[in-house]
Amino acid sequence: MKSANDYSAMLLPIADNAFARGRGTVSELEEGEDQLYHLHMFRHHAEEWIDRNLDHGPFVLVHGDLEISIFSWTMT
Amino acid sequence: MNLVSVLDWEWSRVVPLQFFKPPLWLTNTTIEDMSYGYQYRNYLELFDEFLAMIRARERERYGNELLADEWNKRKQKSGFMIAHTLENWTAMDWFANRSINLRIYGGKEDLPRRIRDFIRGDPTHTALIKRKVTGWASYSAELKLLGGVSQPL
Repeated sequence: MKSANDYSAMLLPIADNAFARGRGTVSELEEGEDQLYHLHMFRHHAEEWIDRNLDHGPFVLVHGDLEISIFSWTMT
Repeated sequence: MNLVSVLDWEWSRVVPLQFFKPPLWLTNTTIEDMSYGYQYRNYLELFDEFLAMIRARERERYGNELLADEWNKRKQKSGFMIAHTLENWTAMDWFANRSINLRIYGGKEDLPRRIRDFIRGDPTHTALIKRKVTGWASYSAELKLLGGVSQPL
């Protein structure tokens, strides 16, 4: 994948799919309506956040799980 | 203290610039709570100190302030949280509930009406939710049969 826009656009359907197909997550109508609405609301917000001018880069190498426990130290 | 190494690179990958975010644990606040605007602003106070260090180091080592400028811009409007949430879908509900409701709608007073309008606006929404509720019942029955305990997310 060479497009930042495609990457961002891919993440939203992943969320939709996880919500639609996840089992044992919604027990009542009202609860489900609330969740679906907020997913929808996030989508709109995220689409405005995506900077389309960065479609062709730059791209950055990230650690991906940079929690404090992954650092190895010596005391001086 | 001297940093010797950085471990656990199994999630390392190349991402678009907007998804390159600073550590979100600087204030030791959970991601769920960082969805609150006031907690994010609290985080930014410490982040700005961190950013000043990065800026000084960048200037010294590379003669520019590329990353510091970038992050200074991207921190606005809960930018780092949106990046995080896009890559972690279960956080979307928290973030929309706690941050967007307040930022865009000034609170939750009209939330029931907004939800009602949204659901009525598209019949597939109700169909999906009904399917979810039915699925929950069959999931729970199956789980019970297997001797498990239901813990909906």
